[in-house]
Amino acid sequence: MGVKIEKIEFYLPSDKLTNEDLKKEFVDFDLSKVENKIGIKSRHIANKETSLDLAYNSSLKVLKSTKYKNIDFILYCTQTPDYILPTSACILQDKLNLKTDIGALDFNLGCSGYVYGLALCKGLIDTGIAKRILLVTTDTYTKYIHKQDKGNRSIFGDGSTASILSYCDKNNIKEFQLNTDGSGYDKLIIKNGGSKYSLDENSALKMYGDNNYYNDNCLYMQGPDIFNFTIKNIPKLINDVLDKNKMNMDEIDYFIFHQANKFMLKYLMKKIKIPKEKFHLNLTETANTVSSTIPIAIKQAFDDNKIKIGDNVLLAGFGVGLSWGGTIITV
Amino acid sequence: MNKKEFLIEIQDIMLLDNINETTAIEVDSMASLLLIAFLDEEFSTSISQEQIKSIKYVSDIIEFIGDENIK
Repeated sequence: MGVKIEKIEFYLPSDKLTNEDLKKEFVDFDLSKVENKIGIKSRHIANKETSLDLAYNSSLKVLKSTKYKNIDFILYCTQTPDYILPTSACILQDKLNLKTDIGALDFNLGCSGYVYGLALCKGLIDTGIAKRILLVTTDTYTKYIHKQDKGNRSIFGDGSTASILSYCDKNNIKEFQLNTDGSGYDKLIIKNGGSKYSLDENSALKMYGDNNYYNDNCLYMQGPDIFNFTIKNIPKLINDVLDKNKMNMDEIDYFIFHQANKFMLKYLMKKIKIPKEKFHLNLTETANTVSSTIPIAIKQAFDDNKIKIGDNVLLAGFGVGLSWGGTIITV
Repeated sequence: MNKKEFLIEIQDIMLLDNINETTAIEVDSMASLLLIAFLDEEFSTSISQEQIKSIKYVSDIIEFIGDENIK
């Protein structure tokens, strides 16, 4: 008894923000640094669309190409829901005209969200609660980034993915290692707008890093501390995932990590000693789309023949929470 | 790593020429990431954002690592 990923599709909003656009706004914007070190040339921006709009479009794409009516669960990963309540997954069920005798829930995770989503799918299918799940990742972080925060505006992009997970005879989604450290909750945070701190029209402008500005209504990221967290924990995560699956590095055909930024990924690749040809690095046109980077990367790698049916692919997600997790899938 | 090699590395990270221990430095966001990676790789130590903020001179990095760790 097992679970497989049947299909993945993604949807990116049509509006783009290029490095040249950012250079027009910020005279001190270093084009070559962002392209060469961060690895990003442009990012898609949901100016008019919401997270749910993106989710609807990615879901429609994947459902059109698969058996539409057999979905019996929706799992919806977002940190930028259209409403505090109701649950976005419920609205998506209606928009997609899916039947009503299905389960639907949202879960709030960022860059580890897809790996956690796979773990939830595996649990629901292994226990017989669901047979065919629509797993959605969708975020519009750019709506929460301050206009004067060139650092985060250069890193993040918007996007959504939809995956179909279903029962299969083989165990195509193997064992998971999931981790959490809430002591780092404030390393990546939107402080205001929840039940603890209301949105504040007069929230003070604050500066960080290289003349980046934000206020507490907006997204704030302590980049160096997130980098420290990553280089400390992800090498161990990879070892733990391999140990749990009784596999070694040589048995992994391809490694797909959360596409945070080129510098971080290259450092992890070097530290973990992953051969370059086995390591996915492609965020040039999409930037960091939070929980969507891993499923976008799986589809890119498959479409580009970097992975093929039967390959073992190690996935690792890490970020806001702090939360991190990994697993191995057989394509 | 000896002190000469160390200074060359810091010079590359900070994009400066001919530095010594008394050279004043300003660690921008990219240099922060490079410095974190360098300290992790060469000295198996991590430096926080707050600690990076307090760096004003090359000697501050040497003090953080410990002079005895640079031959």
